[in-house]
Amino acid sequence: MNQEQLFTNLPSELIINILSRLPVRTIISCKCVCKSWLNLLDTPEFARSHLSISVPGLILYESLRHVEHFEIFEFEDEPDLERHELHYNSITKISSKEFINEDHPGLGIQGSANGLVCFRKIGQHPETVYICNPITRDYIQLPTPGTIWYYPTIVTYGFGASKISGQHKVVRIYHECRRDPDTHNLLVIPKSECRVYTLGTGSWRSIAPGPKLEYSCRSIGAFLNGNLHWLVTDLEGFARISCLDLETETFSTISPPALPESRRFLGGLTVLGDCLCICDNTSDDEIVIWVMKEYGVEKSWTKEFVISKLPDFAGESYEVVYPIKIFKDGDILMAWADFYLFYHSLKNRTTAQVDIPRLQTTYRMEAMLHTPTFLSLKSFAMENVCSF
Amino acid sequence: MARKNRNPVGKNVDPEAQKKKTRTLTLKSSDGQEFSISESAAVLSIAIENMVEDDCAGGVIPLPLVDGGTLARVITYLNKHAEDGASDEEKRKFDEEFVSGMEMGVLFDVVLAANYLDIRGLLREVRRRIADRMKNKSVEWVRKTFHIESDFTPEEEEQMKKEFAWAWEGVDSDVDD
Repeated sequence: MNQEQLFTNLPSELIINILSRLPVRTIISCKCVCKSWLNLLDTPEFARSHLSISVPGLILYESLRHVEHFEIFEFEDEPDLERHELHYNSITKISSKEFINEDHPGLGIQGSANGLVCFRKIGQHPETVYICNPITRDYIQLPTPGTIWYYPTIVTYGFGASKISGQHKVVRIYHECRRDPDTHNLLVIPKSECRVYTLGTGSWRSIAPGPKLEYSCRSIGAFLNGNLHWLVTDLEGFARISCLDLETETFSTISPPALPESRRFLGGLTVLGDCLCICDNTSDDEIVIWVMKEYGVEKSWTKEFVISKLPDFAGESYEVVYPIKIFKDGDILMAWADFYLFYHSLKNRTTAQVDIPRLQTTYRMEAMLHTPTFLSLKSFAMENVCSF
Repeated sequence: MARKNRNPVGKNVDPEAQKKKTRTLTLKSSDGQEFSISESAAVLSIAIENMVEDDCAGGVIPLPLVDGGTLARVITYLNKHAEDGASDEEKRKFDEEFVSGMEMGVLFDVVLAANYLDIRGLLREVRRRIADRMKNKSVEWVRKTFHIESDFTPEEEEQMKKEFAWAWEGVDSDVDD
């Protein structure tokens, strides 16, 4: 081929396909190569192609002494990887100050879908909710979703995209609870409501809130298959999974696996390798990971991994553990509540801290899978998009 | 098209598949070179398969958009992938070696040919390879390697550097590997 015309000869869909395979930062570099590439990389066709190839990385939110920030990482995932070097694969780090101009906004991640992250100011009533794309560096602040509320009322969020129409929806579940003053056991839920914010519509609307269930104030909806899932307790005290179909906006209930009976069940519901997963940290000496092999089929719950706790972690536990990703080399990345991020090697049965030294001085951290996207929030109508 | 029968010992052998193995086609490149190839290998290209099915082949299939050197490479790929008894692992290894030594210009010739001839596996492999070589490279490296001239004004360039400052740290040095 004429050496002068390597890319010039290719049809644009082929150029888009090749450039979609690059790491995020190389794609940004490519925007600066020439005007025709800049235009091509700004098209919705490119954003779509990239998102369909883009593999999930990690979003890590950290609250440190003087600052809060979040960082996006790409994973290296090869069967023969010597070690995981997450800190070398950072795409971008954003401090909350750049984002919402506050040193300590006290954000919590409420979900990540198609490269968009839903944040909420924790501990602020009524809540302030943001949708942010850390790659295109823009965000939307949603209108206030409700009025002031106090414990024992429980408010829980979820964020995902509907399966057929692909609409991005933020879900807010509100349950006014009455508890026994001595035991704190839930007695009755006098009022419940559910509100949905569809990105691009500019307002919240109410939907039927589904059965009265006890949600945890700390849990967020696990997004899989166009549905959001929360681990809840029914009024008889049994663990259940509340499932919201984001297309039809109807609730249903799924049974969890047969979990050991315990007054202080420490279960975390999450998505692990395209399966619904319950991680049970109730036991003093082991962590049990259950996986629903076939989505929606209750019989397919399988006790997939049992991990012995290191002596440092053994003993009565009070925190929920979330597996995040299984790597091809047999390591699982897991989060111990909002304290630690660690790898457990299924092959060698060893556990190691994640290679980000500053995490040891972090007050609070949150981590979940996040698929980077070039889909700009500006493509949604009716939204006041801010850039940072 | 009937799926190729992978049964090793001739039980239930699809007679049509057998015929394809023995029948040969002639492919003619843009510079007039002719190549013989078994039909079973040639039809791994969807475009050639369509031409054969429409019977517009008439013995020699002209491929005016592919030069001889590139066509020879493509045929090597097709023959390997149509080979009886070649395991997936063997094919994977072959693919690896097939593209690893190619110069950038050759990769682009092959990707264009694979796109035109609609050879999905080859297209996937070469696209991935081109992207692999571009990973973590600087703007200057991309411009130099692909002979692309910047049409940004210095002011625009400065502006973009500012806007995307976060993406510029830690890219590879411009050593070609």
